[in-house]
Amino acid sequence: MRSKFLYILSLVVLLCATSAAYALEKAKIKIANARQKGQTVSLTLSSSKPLRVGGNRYVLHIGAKDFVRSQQTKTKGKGTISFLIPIDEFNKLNDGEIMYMSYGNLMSEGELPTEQQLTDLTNSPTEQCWSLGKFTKKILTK
Amino acid sequence: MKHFSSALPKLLGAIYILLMTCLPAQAQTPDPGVTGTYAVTKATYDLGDLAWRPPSFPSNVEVRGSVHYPTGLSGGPFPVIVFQHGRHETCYETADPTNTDLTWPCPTGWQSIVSFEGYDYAARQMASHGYIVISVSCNAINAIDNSLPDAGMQARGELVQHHLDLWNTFNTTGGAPFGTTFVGKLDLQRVATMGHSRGGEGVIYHALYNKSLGSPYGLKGVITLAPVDFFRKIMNGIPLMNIAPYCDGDVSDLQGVHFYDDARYNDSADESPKHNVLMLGANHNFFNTVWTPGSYIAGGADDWDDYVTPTDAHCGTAALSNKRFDTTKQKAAFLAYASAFYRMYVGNEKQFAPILNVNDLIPPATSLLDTTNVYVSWHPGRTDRKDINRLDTSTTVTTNTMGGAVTLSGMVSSGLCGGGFTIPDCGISGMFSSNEPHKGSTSEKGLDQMRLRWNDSVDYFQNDIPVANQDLTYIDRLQFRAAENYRQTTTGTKLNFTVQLIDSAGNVSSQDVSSASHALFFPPGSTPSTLPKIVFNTIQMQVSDFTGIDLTKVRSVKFKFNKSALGSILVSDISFVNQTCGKMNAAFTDTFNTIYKVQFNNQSATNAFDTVSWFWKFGDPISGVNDTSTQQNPFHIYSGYGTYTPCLYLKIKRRNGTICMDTICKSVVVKNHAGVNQVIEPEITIIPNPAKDYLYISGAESTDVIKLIHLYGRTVFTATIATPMVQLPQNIAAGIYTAVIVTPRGNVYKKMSIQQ
Repeated sequence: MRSKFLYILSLVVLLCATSAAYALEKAKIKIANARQKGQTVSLTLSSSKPLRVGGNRYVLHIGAKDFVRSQQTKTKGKGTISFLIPIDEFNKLNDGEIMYMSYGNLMSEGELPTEQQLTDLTNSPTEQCWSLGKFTKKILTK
Repeated sequence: MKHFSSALPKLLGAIYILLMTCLPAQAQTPDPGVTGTYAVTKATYDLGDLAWRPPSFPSNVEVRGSVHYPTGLSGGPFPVIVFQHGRHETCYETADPTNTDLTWPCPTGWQSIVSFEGYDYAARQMASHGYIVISVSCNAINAIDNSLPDAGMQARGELVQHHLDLWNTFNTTGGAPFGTTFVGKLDLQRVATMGHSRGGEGVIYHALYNKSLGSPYGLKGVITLAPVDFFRKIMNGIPLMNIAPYCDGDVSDLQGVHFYDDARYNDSADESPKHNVLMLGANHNFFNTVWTPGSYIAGGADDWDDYVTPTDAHCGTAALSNKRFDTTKQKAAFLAYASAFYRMYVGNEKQFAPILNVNDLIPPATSLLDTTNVYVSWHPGRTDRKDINRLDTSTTVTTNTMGGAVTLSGMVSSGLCGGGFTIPDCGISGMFSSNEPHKGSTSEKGLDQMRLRWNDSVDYFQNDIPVANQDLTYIDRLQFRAAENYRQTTTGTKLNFTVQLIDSAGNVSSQDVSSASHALFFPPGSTPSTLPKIVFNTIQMQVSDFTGIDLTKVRSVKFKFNKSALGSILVSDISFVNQTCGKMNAAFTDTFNTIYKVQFNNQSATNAFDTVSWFWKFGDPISGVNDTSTQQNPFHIYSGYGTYTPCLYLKIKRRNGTICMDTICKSVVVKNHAGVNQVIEPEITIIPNPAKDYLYISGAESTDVIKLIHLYGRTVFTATIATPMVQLPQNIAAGIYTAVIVTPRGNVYKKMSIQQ
């Protein structure tokens, strides 16, 4: 009887621990590709788990410029998001600018986070911010 | 144990007295969250997944919804409420409901997620009070809205309008699937909306769209529930209530506060009030049962725990002593406040005004909230408000909106900030959008506000009142919005300061902010980029509480920082509230005393300095001149047992000469000594109605008497009912009369129309 109780207890503990760990595991986001279709560049990011569907928007920040038009997909426990960037705006972007994705706007329009803030938020478990390194137009050929 | 038991009542009594002493106001307001008297029926309609194309949308969308309505629909037409849900997964796989997707229509083997049914609990509540509540599905828009320049907002507005058009058809000619069930049953000039999340911005777009079409539907109120506000459209001219959940893990910057902020002074003729309700433990999803984990088969999430952190001390459910609302509490909170809003602005039930106007700080019992859970802001309409200092331009730091001088003395730092464009931000370092929801930027409007930091009890911020505005005896309240600047305040500190009114002779009357309001608090939680948050709440004081000064000559309003040694606050919207009729609300109680005698007690709310008069009409015209009274608390001896409808006509004369009137009528049951309270009315009928030459009275005894009493109380005809057919004399004027059948069994009253 006692061993059965301990067995059930250990199962419950294991279940709680794994589900908590799963909940805290933050999506890993990286640039997948960027392709031009007509007058639009589709910059696609891949995610290690499905991206959320909610009221707010994912925002791609390149320097002080924000891009919000996007399309999401998910397959087999993973996700992608493609940001739709007009080619003329893409051409105006500068290489070397800070690049990150956020869920909602972290900063007021036109404001940039400090590098420390970006690092802290990227490393935090909250599903709100992912640093994507420095922008380069060369991703269009990726 | 015995000793403890005997001490317990005293202890509880002491706690009660302590609580009542500490709380700034008593809960005296009726509870809007109580279920109404109508039985409720639910029905759904589905015209197809791709039934209609919104003009601004690239593809067809579903026309699908639910309706909750008073069962039987007798007594209509009923006012209408439309709900619109926000963005959420649209489909789930039938074989594996954990697999959800954002596509439309749902492919074979998948089912649609019924987000529109997630507010059924609120729809039932409002329908029980006599509303027809429609909730519309928006899955097709959700499936592709992110790829559109306007995020599908215009289409959301168009879809609400399309459903109203559809219901207009159901209301006039009828149509499938309801046939003629709803013909004549909807009052489409009394319509209100609620939009959740993206639906919140959607109903703002709808209000503007309806207006652009010439307002075919009469919008009386709009609720934005945890909304997004991507495009900063401004709605004026319709009462607004924004609900901001502090633990929102989705729209965590509470951007819906801009709907309130942006609309305040945008239209100088705007008579519509704005409300903001900050719910300190609510998250984003739990307002919708379909989005709530465990309440629906697919797609639910606790947005705060799942996407921010479950360990935040305030919002995280894994934290000990966290203050998150559970699902029951969150829905109850929404229900109570939404019900107050709809019933006040659509149903004209003014008794709920104190909840929305920050006059009664104790939440309704049905909300399950306490005073630390909820904070309300109120921006009255144009003529109900006299702005002292809007703090909206750079000149208002020297000359206020009324034209009086502004003095800042001894402050560590102060200045106008936060408004965006040319007004600088408030210089609070390390803040993210979610920490500062009201903030603007160089390209976006924010909330103009005054930052005030002090470290000495002689520091003050003073606004002088020009002579023309110094008579406050017809002003009800002084109010402003404020928030603690937590970056410059010791963690956990609840700040306090003094508000002083100074008359022309230099006499000073003071009130502590902490004794009038609980709205100045250190915002809780500690999660980088998200908590704490600075959210403005209204602090309000009764002018009549400032005693010992000449209220006809108040020359200054002074914030004196002599209570907390150090502190930093942000302030906006300093104004006097001068509602035309103030808090006037007619009300009375009735007590059945002895045979036929009822004692009436006036319970009406009026304002300080009002001259009040009462006129009672007891609904007993057979009692002649005794049917009326001008006493405050009269009694009336009824002429028989039965059900009567006495009315109180309340009249107030305000200090500025304005006359206001309000009326309340109630049903009163009068019993005889045997406790009988009514005759069996169906036994006696009178036809035809309208009548012209005769009345046919069935069910009466030959000794019973009929009287016709004009609305003004004059008996114009009396006859014994010897036979059922009673001839009417030629000289009875056309009009509405009360026919009273006087019987030994009690009197029967019928409203009759007489035609010439």
